[in-house]
Amino acid sequence: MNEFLLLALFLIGLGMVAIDKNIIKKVIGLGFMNNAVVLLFVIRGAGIGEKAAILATGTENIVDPLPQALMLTAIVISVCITALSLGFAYKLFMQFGTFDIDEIKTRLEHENR
Amino acid sequence: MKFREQAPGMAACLIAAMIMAPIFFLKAPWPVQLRDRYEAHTIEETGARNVVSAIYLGYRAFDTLGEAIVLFIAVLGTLHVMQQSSSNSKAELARWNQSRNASNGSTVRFITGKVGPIILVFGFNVMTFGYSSPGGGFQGGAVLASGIIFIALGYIRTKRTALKQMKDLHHIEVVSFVLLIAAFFSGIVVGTGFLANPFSHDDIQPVVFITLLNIIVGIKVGASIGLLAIAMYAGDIHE
Repeated sequence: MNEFLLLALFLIGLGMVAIDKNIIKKVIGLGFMNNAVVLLFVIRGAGIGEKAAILATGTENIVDPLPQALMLTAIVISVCITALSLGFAYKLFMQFGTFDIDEIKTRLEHENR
Repeated sequence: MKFREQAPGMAACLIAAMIMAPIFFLKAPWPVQLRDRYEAHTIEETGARNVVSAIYLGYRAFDTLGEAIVLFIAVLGTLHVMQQSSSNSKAELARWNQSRNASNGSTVRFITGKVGPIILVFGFNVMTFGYSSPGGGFQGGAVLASGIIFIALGYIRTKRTALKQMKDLHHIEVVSFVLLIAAFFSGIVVGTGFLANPFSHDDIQPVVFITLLNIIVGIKVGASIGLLAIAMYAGDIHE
């Protein structure tokens, strides 16, 4: 069930990137895809063990800490990607006054002609 | 929107679903050997009780180094993009200041300005005790960034103060980045190797290194994300 929901979340993000015309919504879609992957790793890693990965005396049967450590960096990278793409979106908006990629494309073709 | 325009995107989603489904629904058992090794040896090898901290600052510190570089480049790129894209005329400055004063209600300003320092303290708490409790550098850095954004919402009234705050944050970020690299290279000086823990003697516990790195990484992440947010908030950087 979890995996099904995560695949759905991933595909919603991909659909936003592939189908939607608005650049801001594309950036939000990238965030959706990243969150789906992060949650998948953490859930799969927690498939073994029960306790959180903090070793007090006598703690046994912890979850796998490695996916959590890797996803920690992935989350920060996702923030970087979002910020950089929002920066580019801002630049495009300053140039063309719109977030619609079709309109930006037609204006670019019009300028190059 | 016409169906013809959507069709390629939908086809891409369908293909992606077919490719990704085996990855998402994989039924192979998750390997336990590495978990068992971490469970048995983490405390004696790194001194950290939080295994996640021990991994990204000890066993896989190279990952953290790469992440710090990516974050640094992303901040530079975003600032560069924002800088190029808008003019900085006097009229625009006046318009920015006016719109900023109009858009933030005094309630928001009052509350965020007062709560911000408390969030900063909480962020430092999460960073400092990340070796033994839930938390660590990245998490504390994210908390720190939200505190910085709160302070910006509370106290930034004019574009000049925004630019000054961005400049300070940029300095903090660069200094913490240099400190991080110096800490990673300190193992070479002592003789334990690149990225290795220099405190393996009996007089200083190895967990000191983890705590130190947690604080440096946290300050770096907090300054970077806060800088990105304020750059978006203020529009552009140059004066």
